[in-house]
Amino acid sequence: MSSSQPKSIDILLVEDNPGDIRLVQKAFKKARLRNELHVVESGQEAMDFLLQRAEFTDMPRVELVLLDLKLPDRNGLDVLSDIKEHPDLKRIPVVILTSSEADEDIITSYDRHANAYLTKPVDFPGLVKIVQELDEFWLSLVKLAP
Amino acid sequence: MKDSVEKPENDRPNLSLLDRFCRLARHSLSATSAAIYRDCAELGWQRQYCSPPHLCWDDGIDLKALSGGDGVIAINNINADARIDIHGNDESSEKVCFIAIAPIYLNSATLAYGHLVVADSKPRRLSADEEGSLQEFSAMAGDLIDMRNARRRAAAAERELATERQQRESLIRSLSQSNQQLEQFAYIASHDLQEPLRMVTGFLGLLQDEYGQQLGDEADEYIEFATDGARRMKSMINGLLSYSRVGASDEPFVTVDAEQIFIEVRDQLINNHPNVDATITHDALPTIQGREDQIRRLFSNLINNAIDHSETASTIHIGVEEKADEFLFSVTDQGVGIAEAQQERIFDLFVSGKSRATEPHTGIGLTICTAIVEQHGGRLWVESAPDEGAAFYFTISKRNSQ
Repeated sequence: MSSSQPKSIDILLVEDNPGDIRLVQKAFKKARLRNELHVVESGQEAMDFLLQRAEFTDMPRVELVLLDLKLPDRNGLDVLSDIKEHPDLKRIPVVILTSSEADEDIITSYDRHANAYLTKPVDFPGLVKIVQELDEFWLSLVKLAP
Repeated sequence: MKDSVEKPENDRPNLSLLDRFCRLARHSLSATSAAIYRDCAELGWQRQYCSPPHLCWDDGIDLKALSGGDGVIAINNINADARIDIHGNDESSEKVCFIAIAPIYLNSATLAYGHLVVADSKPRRLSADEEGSLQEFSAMAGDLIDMRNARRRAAAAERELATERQQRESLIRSLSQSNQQLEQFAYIASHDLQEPLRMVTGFLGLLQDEYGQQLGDEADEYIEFATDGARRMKSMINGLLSYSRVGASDEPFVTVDAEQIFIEVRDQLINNHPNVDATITHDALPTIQGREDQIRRLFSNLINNAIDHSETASTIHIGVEEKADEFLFSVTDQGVGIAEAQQERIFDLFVSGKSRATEPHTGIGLTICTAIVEQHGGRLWVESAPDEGAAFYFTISKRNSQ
């Protein structure tokens, strides 16, 4: 049966705003999650990290991606497409974490096979709650591809 | 000089109505030629219209010197008339012997417009009948010139109208363009404003979370003020965003059951605010043509507004009256009312009336309502007096379609 001990996984946050990075890191800490949170700040770095190449050859395999749509080098939606079209990466769940509430962003994200779409909450307690629920859902409830 | 005045008329491939009239006068009086002269202050007599063939018969004859008075002047034989000094009446052209001149008056004028001149190459005498005909013709020429002038004025007015229409169309184009830019601005601004605001609220929260105990009561209060300000700014930005979305909406117009929407809005309101004491009654509401989301928002804003501006228990009625082209809806409350001086202001952006404030007010609700009603081809207004409640009226056109 499934283990009662919550497992620890490697999560990749793709986000270029240092404030948001810090808030997410703090929220993970506050929620007492034991997961490893890695951070990259561009679309290029995200692909390199996921494919364990360039300076990321020694990095672990990522099991969940938190992806911002506004990145310095390329549109987050294109990064999403690259992940979902790559045979080795397409099964990794990608959760969009963005400040955009625009319908077209939401629709395009799901069209490109995003696994969930979350808007960044405005206050810190809200972010802590989101991080807790992310952990609860993706790491405890969901059976991920082996 | 004379040539340049004549040319435009003579060069016309088709004779003008007044040229034809001259031909008719010539035939009718069995003369060689008939012409209409305009009496110009500076240039003297200028031939405007004439019957072809055009003979240079008036060269060297000072017609003006011959004319005078209201009646017909006839000169039976120029060559035998002492009053006439003919010079340059050249041999090659047909010589003028007989001239009759009648003044032309326009309806509106007491001064003669010009003269109708009939000429013949042989001497003759004007019979009483012929003189009568000439007078008739000059009166008719006056009428025709009046008609011509009226037609010219109408054409000029039409041109002016067309120019005005063009100007109005270009004004509408530039207005709708600037409107679009404004909506785009509001949309972008509110999107991009969310980002820094989240930093403020996020880190204020973090500050409180991590250092709240160590800073003392006053610092906690500062953080609370800052957080409250940021929260209000957030709701203003969201309001701005909703406002810009009303204008930018491409949601189609469909048949919307206003009663159904009202019931949903009312039930949701009661669910969300179980402690609010409100009695909401309504007429049977019709189906209308509209955007469902916007209509829902319109009802929700107006009913919320009515509840917020009631002192204790709210009594609210939603009424409707069917007119020829539109439905007239009303949302009436028994609340604190609005002074007349305030009644226009409350529809402006970020202006909020006084309320018991169960929820923070951004003052954008009624602005959004106005935008929604205008999108539905209607108007929104309020009738109220202090302490006598308020009635918000809005119309929804029956001819909405897209």
